[in-house]
Amino acid sequence: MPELATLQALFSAAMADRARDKQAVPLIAGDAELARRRLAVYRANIAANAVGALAAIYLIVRKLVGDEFFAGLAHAYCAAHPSASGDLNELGEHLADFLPAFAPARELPYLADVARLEWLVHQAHYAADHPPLALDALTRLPANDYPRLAMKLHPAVALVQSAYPLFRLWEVHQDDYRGEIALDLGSGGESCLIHRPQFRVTVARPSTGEAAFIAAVARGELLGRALDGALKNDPGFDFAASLKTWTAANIVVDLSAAAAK
Amino acid sequence: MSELPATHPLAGIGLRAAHYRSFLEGRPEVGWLEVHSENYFGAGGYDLHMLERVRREYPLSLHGVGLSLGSADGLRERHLAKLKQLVERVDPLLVSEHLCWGAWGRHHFNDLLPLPYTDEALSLMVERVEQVQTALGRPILVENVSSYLQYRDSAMPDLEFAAEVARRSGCGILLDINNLYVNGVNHGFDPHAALAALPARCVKEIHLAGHARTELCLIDDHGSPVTDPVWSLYEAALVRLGRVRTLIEWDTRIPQLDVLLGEARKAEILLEAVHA
Repeated sequence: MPELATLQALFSAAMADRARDKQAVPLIAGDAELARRRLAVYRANIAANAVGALAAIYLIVRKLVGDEFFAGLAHAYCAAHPSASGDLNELGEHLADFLPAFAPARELPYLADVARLEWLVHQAHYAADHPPLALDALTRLPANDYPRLAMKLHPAVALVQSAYPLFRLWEVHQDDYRGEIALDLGSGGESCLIHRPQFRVTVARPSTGEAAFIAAVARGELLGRALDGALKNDPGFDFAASLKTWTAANIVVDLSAAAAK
Repeated sequence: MSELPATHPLAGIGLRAAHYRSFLEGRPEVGWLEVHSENYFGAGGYDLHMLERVRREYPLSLHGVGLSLGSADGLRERHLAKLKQLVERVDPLLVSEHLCWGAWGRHHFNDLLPLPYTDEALSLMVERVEQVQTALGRPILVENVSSYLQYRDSAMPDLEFAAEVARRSGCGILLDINNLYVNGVNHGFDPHAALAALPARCVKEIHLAGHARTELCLIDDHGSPVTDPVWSLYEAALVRLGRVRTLIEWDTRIPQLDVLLGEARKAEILLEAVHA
């Protein structure tokens, strides 16, 4: 009688690879052919659960490539990056990095950026809550401290920069989108700013200056330096107007004087 | 974890995101709610908000599907830590998991794989249930799973295995009537007779769900109404076990909330017919 550990090792090998059924079949009661078919039921359930979990996250990737292609992509992805968690919401973290090496998707170079965006949207859905910035936060701080202010972004905030019109790709695939569907993939790069004002994850298209500023703050730069960098990228960057938008949208959630160095 | 008065409705439903809106717009009439623990493992956001909101109005049960209690290579500590955090956050009435395994090494199959019902598996499961109960500081319930195959080495029926885990670890049993029926068909035994293995006291919750029929076997897919033979088996179980809190599970092809509430009412009528 094999030990439980042996049984589970053999069963697991058969789940990962049909060619390994041979070693698992003797564990199972009844005739060998029936045992093989029943192992196949489990293999199919496991695959269907994984494809379903990925499809629930990567809605636009799936729309862009179609169901059949997506199922093939999901299988190839899971073979390279098997689920490592009992929480299926954690499956799919590496899809954006996996895509450039996935030969059938070579004709769709923007797919990886779409995947990166959708993963961050998924993460934003489960990110920690944070109350909005107190209205008097700025007035509490002396004006000559402003350059040395540290800004805190909401835990759901993330930025994706792309060489493709990523926001447009996102926008036209939303269920509630109304408008022209035409999309010119050569129309230039767009960034997407992911945030969650309260519970609904929202994607915005920041200006070049806004994207540079948010990226700098996310790296930990203080306000003065982040502002200089943003203005260098985009001389038209209107910080006061952007800050107003960001506080209203719960993107910037705290301001504090950085500790003197 | 105080017991509710006997007059409180004992039939509940699984809360799924598709029905959140109905719970924001009103208070659907149902005795209690159950969710899959893993869907609320996030740090924040809408799902947790909804869970805390319904928790104020209904008794709540956390039903785990991913702890993989029966893996011989160790307890998934990170998963347990997340469950513990959630239990502390919402203080549920019940916490349950499955008598199965689903992970090996770094690989998780995200499925409820059957165990061989051996003395070795029994000792392992008792030890794991005790570990979880110690970590959570409360007893848990363990559920009998459906299966599409049986191991040569299994030495006892799954309900006998469940009863013995409960007796040794002090946990309760979550009896899934649909799984019992599905296994009876798949493995050719009489599910009514199998009920005799269960001491009445240890069954703290019952699950009811639909299944799908394939040419090879019945598949426990929770995607349709409870079938007539499962209702009959449920009635027989109530006669033996008394009034046990009962849940309608529906996970695929999720219908309108009213359909679930209708199924729960059917269960409630059968529960009320049982002499306490």
